[in-house]
Amino acid sequence: MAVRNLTRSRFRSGLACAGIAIGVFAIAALGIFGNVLAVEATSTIGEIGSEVVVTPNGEEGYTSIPETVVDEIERATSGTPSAAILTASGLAASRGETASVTFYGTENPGAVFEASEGSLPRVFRTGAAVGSEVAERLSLRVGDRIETEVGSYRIVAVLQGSETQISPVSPDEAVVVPETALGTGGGYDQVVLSGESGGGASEAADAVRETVNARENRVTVFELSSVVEEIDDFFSLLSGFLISLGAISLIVAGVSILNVMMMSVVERRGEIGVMRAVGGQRGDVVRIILIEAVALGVVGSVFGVALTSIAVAALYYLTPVGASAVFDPGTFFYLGTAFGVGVAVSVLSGIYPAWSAANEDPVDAIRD
Amino acid sequence: MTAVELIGVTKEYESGDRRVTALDDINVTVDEGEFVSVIGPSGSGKSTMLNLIGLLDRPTSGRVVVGGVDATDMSESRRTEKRGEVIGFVFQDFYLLPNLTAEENVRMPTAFNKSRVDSGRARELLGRVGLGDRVDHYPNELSGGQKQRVAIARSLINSPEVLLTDEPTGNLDLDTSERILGEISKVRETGVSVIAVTHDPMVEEYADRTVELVDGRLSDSRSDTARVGGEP
Repeated sequence: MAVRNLTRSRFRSGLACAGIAIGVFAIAALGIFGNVLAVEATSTIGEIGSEVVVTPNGEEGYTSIPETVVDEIERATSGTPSAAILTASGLAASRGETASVTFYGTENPGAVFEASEGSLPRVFRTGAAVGSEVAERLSLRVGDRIETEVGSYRIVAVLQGSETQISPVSPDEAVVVPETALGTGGGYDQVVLSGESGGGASEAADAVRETVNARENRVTVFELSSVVEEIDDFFSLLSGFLISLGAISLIVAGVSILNVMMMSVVERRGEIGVMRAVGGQRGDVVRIILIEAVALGVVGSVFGVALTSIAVAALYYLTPVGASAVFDPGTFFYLGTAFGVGVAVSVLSGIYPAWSAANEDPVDAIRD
Repeated sequence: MTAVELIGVTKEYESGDRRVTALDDINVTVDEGEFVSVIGPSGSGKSTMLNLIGLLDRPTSGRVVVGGVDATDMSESRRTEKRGEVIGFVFQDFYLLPNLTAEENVRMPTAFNKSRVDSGRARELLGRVGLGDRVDHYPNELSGGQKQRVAIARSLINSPEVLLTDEPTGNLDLDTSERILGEISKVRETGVSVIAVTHDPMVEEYADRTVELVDGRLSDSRSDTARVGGEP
């Protein structure tokens, strides 16, 4: 009976369903898009989240990290791969082409860089690894030679570009050489620690602060995980904001259902009076009106979820966003939540009209 | 056997800051299988009396006994239940649900109680009022007289003891009115009491007796009101 009542004003019921569908779509789509952004960003920056950068504390007058301090750091963080790095700027040339590059001198490039071609040796004594931009500009491949201000080297690896790896040292314009090439007499410019996880990096950072900086703040310890946390916080805020926008449209849809049900109840006043007269209890009337509201909500929410699924499929097929981000559990969570909220809003919107209809005096309803 | 008794019933309404007496110390008795018409000018209290007998309203004072049970102090829920069990209503405006067929309209009251009435009973009732060939028609496919006959069938679905009708011929032409009154009259054969509130003199011709209300009191002007008024 309730469902048939809805078909009496198909256009009006259709509009109410469309309102709920749009509201559910808004909540689900904005929630999912926010989540996809967060997942994509987290997967990109996740690799730096486990790195700790130790630099000389310039405020206390330290301009480099001496060998002894590097040893202290390594002892304090035993088990965490680390690389002490020297930095210099200069020129590199090959086959008549010249490029401005940044030289990184380290014994352990594998702790900081990743190779896209060739391989990075565990102990770096000979050869050089070049960044992707340097390799492109000088047309270099593994096995070629490169002439630099700090020596002539055979290329052993081309580094992964920063598009797929964010690193505290910029790999694109890098020429990574053995540290002896840059001379270690003056100490190192930075030490990069690569923890296996954000938690491990945090422990390593604390260990450095407790040992190296026990008496004097000789080094500055920068945890990239703190940046990641801030970014996570930002995405949580962004998601909340987007969902709030969606919720507003769902509230508007709820008001629309309230309006549809109120109009319906007023129009059917006499009929509802007769239902009460022939033995329908107040609860029966409440049940009929609520079922109508739920039916509107369920139909609207199903359409909303279907629309969102199409949008998510479009996101996957038409953009470079990966399957892991699109089909993250968060996507299904937002779809389910939006459906539930759509139905719940419909039920809430039906409560007042139902109460109002049930409490109408049948004598008045039939008389007018 | 007595089907309905109003004992010293008074009904007052608040209207703004004054009290209006719609019924003033009324005593009415209607026997089983009796057809009583209630007449009187507008505002005389006819509909109020019908609402009190139909357990749709409560008296300010006095007692209302329907189907041998004093319903005066029943809870709202129990009154609704009792209404469904012993009373059938036929209204001037029919009040059929437009999205239900004739048969579904007839069965509608059974949706609210525990009785499991199958469509056979509804079809039988529609057949009795001459609508056996219209069971699957919607109200907008029926004439005014046919709608009223569907309403009569609906009022009988729960086998009531009392049938209350409010201006049953109010919206119908002469021929159709005669047919409807004939149908209502036939209901008495199964022991159902009929109380019809009306302005239509034709109803009186079908009634066993007529009660006249004037300003909320029973009028003594009619000779056939012997069992009406006086001490219960």
